[in-house]
Amino acid sequence: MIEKDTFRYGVYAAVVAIIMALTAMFGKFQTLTVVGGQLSLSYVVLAVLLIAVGYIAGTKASAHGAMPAALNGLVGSLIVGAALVLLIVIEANVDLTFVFPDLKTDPIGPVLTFGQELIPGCLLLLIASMVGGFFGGLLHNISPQIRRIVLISLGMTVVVGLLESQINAVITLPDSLALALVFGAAYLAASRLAAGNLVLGLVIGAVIGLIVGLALGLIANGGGLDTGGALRGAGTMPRILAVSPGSAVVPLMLIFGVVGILGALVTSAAPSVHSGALYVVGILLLLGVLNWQVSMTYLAALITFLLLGLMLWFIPPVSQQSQVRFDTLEKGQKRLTWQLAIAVGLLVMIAAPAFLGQYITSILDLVGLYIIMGIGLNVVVGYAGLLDLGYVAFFALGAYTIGILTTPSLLTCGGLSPKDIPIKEIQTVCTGVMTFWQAWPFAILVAGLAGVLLGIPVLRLRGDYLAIVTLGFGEIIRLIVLSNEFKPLFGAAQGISNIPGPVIDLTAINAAWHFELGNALNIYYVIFASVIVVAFIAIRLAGTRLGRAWRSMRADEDVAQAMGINLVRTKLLAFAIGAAFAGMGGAIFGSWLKGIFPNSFTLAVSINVLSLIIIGGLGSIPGVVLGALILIGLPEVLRELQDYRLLAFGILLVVTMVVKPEGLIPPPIRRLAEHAEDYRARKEA
Amino acid sequence: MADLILDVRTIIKRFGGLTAVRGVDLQIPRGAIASLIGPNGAGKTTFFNCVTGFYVPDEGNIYFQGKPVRGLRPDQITRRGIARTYQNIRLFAGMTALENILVGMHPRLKSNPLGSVLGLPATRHEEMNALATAIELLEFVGLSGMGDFLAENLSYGLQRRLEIGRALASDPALLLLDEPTAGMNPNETDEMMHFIRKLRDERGLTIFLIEHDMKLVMNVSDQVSVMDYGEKIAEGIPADVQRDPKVIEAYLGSTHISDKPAEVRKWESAT
Repeated sequence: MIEKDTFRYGVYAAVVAIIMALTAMFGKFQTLTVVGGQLSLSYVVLAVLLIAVGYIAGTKASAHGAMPAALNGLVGSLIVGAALVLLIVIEANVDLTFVFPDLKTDPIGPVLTFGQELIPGCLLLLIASMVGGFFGGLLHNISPQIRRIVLISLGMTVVVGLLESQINAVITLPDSLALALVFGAAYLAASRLAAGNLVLGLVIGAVIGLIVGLALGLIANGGGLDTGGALRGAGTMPRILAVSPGSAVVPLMLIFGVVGILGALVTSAAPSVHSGALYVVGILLLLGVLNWQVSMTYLAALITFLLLGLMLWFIPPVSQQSQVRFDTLEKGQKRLTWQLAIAVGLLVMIAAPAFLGQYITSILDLVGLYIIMGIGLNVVVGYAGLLDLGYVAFFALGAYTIGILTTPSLLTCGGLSPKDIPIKEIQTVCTGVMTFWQAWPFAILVAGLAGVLLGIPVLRLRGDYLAIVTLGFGEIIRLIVLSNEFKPLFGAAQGISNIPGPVIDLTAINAAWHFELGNALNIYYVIFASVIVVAFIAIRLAGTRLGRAWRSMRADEDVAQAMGINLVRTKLLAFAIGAAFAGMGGAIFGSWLKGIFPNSFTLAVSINVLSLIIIGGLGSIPGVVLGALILIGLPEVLRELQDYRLLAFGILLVVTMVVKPEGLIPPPIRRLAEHAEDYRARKEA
Repeated sequence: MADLILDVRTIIKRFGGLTAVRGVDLQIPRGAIASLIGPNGAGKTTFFNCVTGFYVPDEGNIYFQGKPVRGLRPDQITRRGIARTYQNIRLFAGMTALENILVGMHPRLKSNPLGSVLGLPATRHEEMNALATAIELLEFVGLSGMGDFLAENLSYGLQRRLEIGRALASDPALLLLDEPTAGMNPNETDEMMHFIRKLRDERGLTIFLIEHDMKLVMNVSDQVSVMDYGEKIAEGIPADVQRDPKVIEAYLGSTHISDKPAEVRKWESAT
């Protein structure tokens, strides 16, 4: 009846639970509320643990039916519960704090006994573990699809709950409802009335958008969105619909007209675009609800859960229909929908900082810098197959080049260290040699040359030997900038400070047009443009002669050489281009943060970049973007987890590599024969 | 003397204490199909590697179309017109059949990275022409319509053909085939035999092959050279080589032809 494995899994999980408890995880997570200011992350973690154990323990028995599975689950979780009860009793009677000091401030007992006395609390924990395990075992009997949807929605709801304070000011409910309404109406109308006719659909969408925009404009003018107005929820002021009476109607009509076109466009867009757009609309609604509820109330949690579940339930099958519609389009129209979708995507990215606010935009900036580095390292590792563990060195070189060239330094002060010159005189004696824009190409060039210089000695090395040498190179650069020998130039441990941001000076046109791009919101555009340029270069190179030479070299270096490929030139080009991209990113990094320190350029950065391209999928640009969002964006957002960030990071890495070893988005197979066919057809036409 | 495309003069290649190739002389006239045979470990592949620049012979000289090529890098030798295939198929994994051919065309293309990034008309034109040529080559080696298959997903016989196609892509004058029929059944071997003839007759190539299948060697070769223990022990037209006592001894290990190994029996039945 009870399988032997059940005990085994129960004991494993109990060990995990005890380790979690002893590192004071439960106590620390108690302060992180997920829902309604009451349900804390500790209880979520406990529940996940108990249910997961129940599920795993019930796996074998599930072949015999629901009850055996549930009972096995119950027993498995009971072992975990019992282990925790034992730990609580020990903690109550023995002083554990001198071995586990964290328990002094965050004891285990109060959390896991649900605030009750010792005896009833422990009983409660045992009952909870039995219930959790029983439920976990029963999960085997739900259809896999529903199980997946429910679990993902629950998980996402918890994540939303954790992030709620950072994302509840993105968009208001009236805004998001209006957008979703226009989008949905245009979508439905276009798919019903204009199936197969792209242009007619777009026109219908635009008309719907214009009409709704007009209506909303009139309502807004009439005061419906003012505080206390009929359509106004709690939360902050709407941004799109925030209009002063009398001037509102035309811009609103334009905005919603575009949204209407978008809704119509999506009906026959490629399925990836289609589902992506629908998810975005769903998430906007969700953010609107959060804003309306101001915080993650129980109602907001329920709506979030239902909304996510509905999205996961409905969007995949609907996207299949869009596949059918997309397939019937002509080649030219297919291209048109792609181009429009990309254009809209760019517009959304350009408008994003206005909604996301300083904090989230700064995370996006960081993600963007890592995307630039990831694309660069992807050239070296993903295309050319040269394992480089010292990649951060080029990032550092870019940053230091910009630092030295744009601030008063040894170079510009006639060989004197700026620190030896009285502060008052410094502006007159010496300034930076260049502005950011003038220095940027030099930063890229210096990094690229360094790439070649590193490349020459390691030309003959492969695999692990190459990795060790590049690792050393990265450390050498860091130690050089850290050393006191070069203090006048690199500033040693103090680094270089007061680096000016990029300045766009259009005072010649308008006296007010002097912009310093120094904060997260506007450096975003420099980073965004750089990502586009870098991705464009990488994609172009990958698809042509040099890219093929790189990839063949990665597959088999000797044979590649026998095919007439000059290995020296090809390898050095990979190192140089990869390094130049890193230098480009490093320069932005330096002038965004206004200061650079050797400690920003540790081995961890190289490892992070390497991890993100491996997780994303070696050789795949979308993979780099996704990898950066997950590995850089997520930990930044999950700062709340503090000490446990790296643990979560590690678990994520292990799971991804076991489940999808080729990466989340493996590089596509290049269908050149198809491409040649299209080309011939177009030429004949 | 006939027009020699390859002229190898007493090359020696040592690995530490072992001398893998001991002063081999070998000449191949233009337009011939020449074979190199010998027992396993005789130094045939080492000899190939010396000709293609993978190894630099310790002594001796190699002339290709009258010019010395000893000491050049493999990519430089390929650019001069020698292409090869490998005993164990070495296609570029993760790349499609068409891309493999395009890599083979690398030395014939001229576009530079800047042109690729900017999408200059000349580069695009060259790319599209290369693609068209590559598709023709695929058809020639019998893989029409399979251009978008990943190389590693093709069947064994097709992989062999693709490898030859990739070698042809550099537009060589001399093609070196290292055991082109290894692992093939008799039917596939027959097809390969016709294909090798077709390569010579339609493309005007000179072909130099290492082969263990005696039927194929005896049928297609204009000239057969035999190596044993790093030395060339016989050379001539197939019929003469076959009767050479030294060759029989090399394959048999002794002059007593009482208990013939399979390879010798196969050889005899082939003629």
